[in-house]
Amino acid sequence: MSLPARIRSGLTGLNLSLLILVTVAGFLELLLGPVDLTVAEVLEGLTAPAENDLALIVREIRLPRVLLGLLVGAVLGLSGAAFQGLFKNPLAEPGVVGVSSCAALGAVIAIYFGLAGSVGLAGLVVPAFGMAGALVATVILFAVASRDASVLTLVLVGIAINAFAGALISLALNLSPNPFAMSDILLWLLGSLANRSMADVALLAPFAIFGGFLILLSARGLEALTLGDQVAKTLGIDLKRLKLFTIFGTSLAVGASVSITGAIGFVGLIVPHMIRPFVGYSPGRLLVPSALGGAALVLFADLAVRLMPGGQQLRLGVVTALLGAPFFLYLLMATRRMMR
Amino acid sequence: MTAIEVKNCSVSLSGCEILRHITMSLSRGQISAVIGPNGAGKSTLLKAIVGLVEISEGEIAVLGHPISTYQPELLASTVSYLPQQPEVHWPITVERLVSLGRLPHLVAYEEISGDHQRAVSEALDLVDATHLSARTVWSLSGGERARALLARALAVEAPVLLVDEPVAALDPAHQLQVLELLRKKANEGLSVVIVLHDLTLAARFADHFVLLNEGEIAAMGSASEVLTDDNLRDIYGIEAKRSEGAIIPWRLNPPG
Repeated sequence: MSLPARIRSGLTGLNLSLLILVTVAGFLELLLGPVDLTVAEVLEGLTAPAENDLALIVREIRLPRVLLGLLVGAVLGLSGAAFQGLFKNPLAEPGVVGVSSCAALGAVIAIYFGLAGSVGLAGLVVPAFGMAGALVATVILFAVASRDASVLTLVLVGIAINAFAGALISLALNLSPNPFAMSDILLWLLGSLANRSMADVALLAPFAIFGGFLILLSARGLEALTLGDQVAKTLGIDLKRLKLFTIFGTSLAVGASVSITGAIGFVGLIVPHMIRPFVGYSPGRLLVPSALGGAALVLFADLAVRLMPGGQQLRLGVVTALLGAPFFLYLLMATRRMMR
Repeated sequence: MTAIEVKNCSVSLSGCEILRHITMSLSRGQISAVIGPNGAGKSTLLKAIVGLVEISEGEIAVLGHPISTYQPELLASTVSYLPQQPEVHWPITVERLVSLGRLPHLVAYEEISGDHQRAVSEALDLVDATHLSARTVWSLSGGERARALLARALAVEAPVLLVDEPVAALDPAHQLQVLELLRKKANEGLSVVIVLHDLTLAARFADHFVLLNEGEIAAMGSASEVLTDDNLRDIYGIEAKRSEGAIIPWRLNPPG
């Protein structure tokens, strides 16, 4: 078998394994919890009439959690991989470079000024502000860091954007009109899949899917960017379109995700890094497996949080940050060594 | 038949005029060497031909059609370009690197197979890099890397190849190997435009010479018309020794 054929079959195998992993994680999320259910009970819960207890647990509590985990994880994995391809830098991740915190800032602004609603179009206000925040951050980042792709520049710009967004969020908390609003914002900021409904899933899904679609259209361009902007252009890649699609796609998807579940950090950093060797470091081929891997990681992390004794109080975003921050440090050192 | 026709072309970069009123015509199936001192505008000329820098006036045509009328994919499969300092941002394998040269011919998500695979294997073979195909680009020596990158440019199988200093990192044997390879491809019909600093190699392998100086064409034509003692003295500020057609830069010769 020739090398490309081996990679092709390997890629299919990789995607298949990750898909199985996601499915297993999703099923475990449905089965396990404060009340452990059997497979038959889960199936009954999925089909039973609404007033049934099983239906309540499976359809109202666990299913939205699974679907949100799936969407958010896929968005974070995919966006991380896309950012890393676009910036040609393994440390570019929506959380690290400040896109997630600007999305959170946008959402906080909407909540703080009482623009958030839950009925009809008003429900879109928080995600819209989140997406706008993400877009602003991405554009700033791109303007500053795109010419000089050095690790240091990217991380420093990320620090600046994160610090600024953090300061404004703190200001909102500081001036918050009542302690309930403050604790609401604070808990939401920590990042969690708990207590979300199918309405939240319905709100996120179109943006996640459309954003993801735009990113997947960039696969070929990201592949060519391996050789730098100029050669990519001489290979027939429309760089403006590539950058527009990647930036707009990640802003939509990450902005909407963060405004619904809060910031769940480092998924986009860890997952593409682990998958990269399996796809021969190809930025285009990294996209789909990273989405699947992101979904699997978020679902398993959420499962761990739920099953841990006393874990009901633990926030998913805190757990991913605890895992991700040391990993980021390791990656930073490794990258600096490699790029020297 | 002309491969590249440049008519009264000027290029300005950040307010500075890099190329002024360049007019030249390069034939198909020839090696045209673009030579000149540092900062003469050689690399910019190549970039202008492949559409990487905007021209402020004039027109550039490739194979008889102005480059502004080409669809990006068609231009990409017509003109292949290897920059002076090529970048490779991920530790991909040499085979993967070379297969990126097939991108202009592929539709999205199409995998390399059949004719594309043949082109990749041939390009690797041409630069004597088949044995490197499974190595990562980052692990190669300077010379191996330069050959792998040239294979990437050859894998496009474009009728026009623009290469900017492709042999600077190579040892003499590989320099000769690469230039002989380009010579052979030119004899088969490939139009090659090459930026070279090594006048000896240029004189030995090129059919046509374009001597640039401070953004203008100082001389153009065959070796005997361009590589004259006067030009070497006035433009490079050197005196050369000649031996059996070879030109050996010998000592500095301040103009005047």
